[in-house]
Amino acid sequence: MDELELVMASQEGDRLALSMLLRNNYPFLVRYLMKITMHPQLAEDLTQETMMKAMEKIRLYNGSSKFSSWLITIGTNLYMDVLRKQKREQAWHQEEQALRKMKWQVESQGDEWPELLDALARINEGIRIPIIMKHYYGYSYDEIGRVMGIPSGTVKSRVSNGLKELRRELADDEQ
Amino acid sequence: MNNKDKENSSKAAKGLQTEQELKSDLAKMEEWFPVYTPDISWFETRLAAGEKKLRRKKNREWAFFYMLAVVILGSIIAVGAANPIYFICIQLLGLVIVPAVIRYEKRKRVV
Repeated sequence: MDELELVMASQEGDRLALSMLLRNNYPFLVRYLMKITMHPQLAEDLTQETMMKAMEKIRLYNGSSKFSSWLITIGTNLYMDVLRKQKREQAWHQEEQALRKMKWQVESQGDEWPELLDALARINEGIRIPIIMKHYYGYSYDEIGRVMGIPSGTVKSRVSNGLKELRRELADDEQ
Repeated sequence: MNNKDKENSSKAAKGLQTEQELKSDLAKMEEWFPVYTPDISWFETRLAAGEKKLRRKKNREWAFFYMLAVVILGSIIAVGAANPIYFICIQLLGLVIVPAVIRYEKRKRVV
């Protein structure tokens, strides 16, 4: 069965079809959420919440975007909700802790944690998400705007300013 | 090439370098943190549990809705039976207030 057939069967209540559909998109979703959150545990939790939400709303999926894009829209919104509910300071502490843990894990494998990822983790998520979507996944500004619920012009300026900020941070680190 | 052109091309080169670095570092992240995909039965179990939870939530919401409807209708009938004049007043008030609120909301949206 191809993706469209799985979607149609899922919308008619076929649980096995929905399981297959979610399983096929699971690694993509976890990896995406890991990159935007920079927090592997949070990414896993958000993936499971996204799957539940997708199950609840599967009848609303109209096929105008790829199923994976629909899933990352749900996942991104859930992440933004988590950040809104958390106090800024609490969120910052958790992010720092997760980042330290990731660095330690990488360094214990004998690799070096890139400074660029450090800088990326430090910038605001409203800027980090469009940068990752644009420069890693290759989404267009319009698509990113639809996922984040903001105009494409805003996405463009966030990506451009975000890259400048990253370069500045890297230059500061080098000095 | 004048100084401004040189500056622009150096900026563009730096930008490209950052973008390429970003791509390769994020790709490395995928290697460092591999994702384990559970088998299909795990998804089915999760979905079955989710469906059950959702059904329970919907039942609770319907029960709340029916109880609220019974309370509101009961109060209206009680008021109407005891004092018909109050009942008529409430109805007339509703006739005036509802269109006024709708008109106000519409005007707010235009502004």
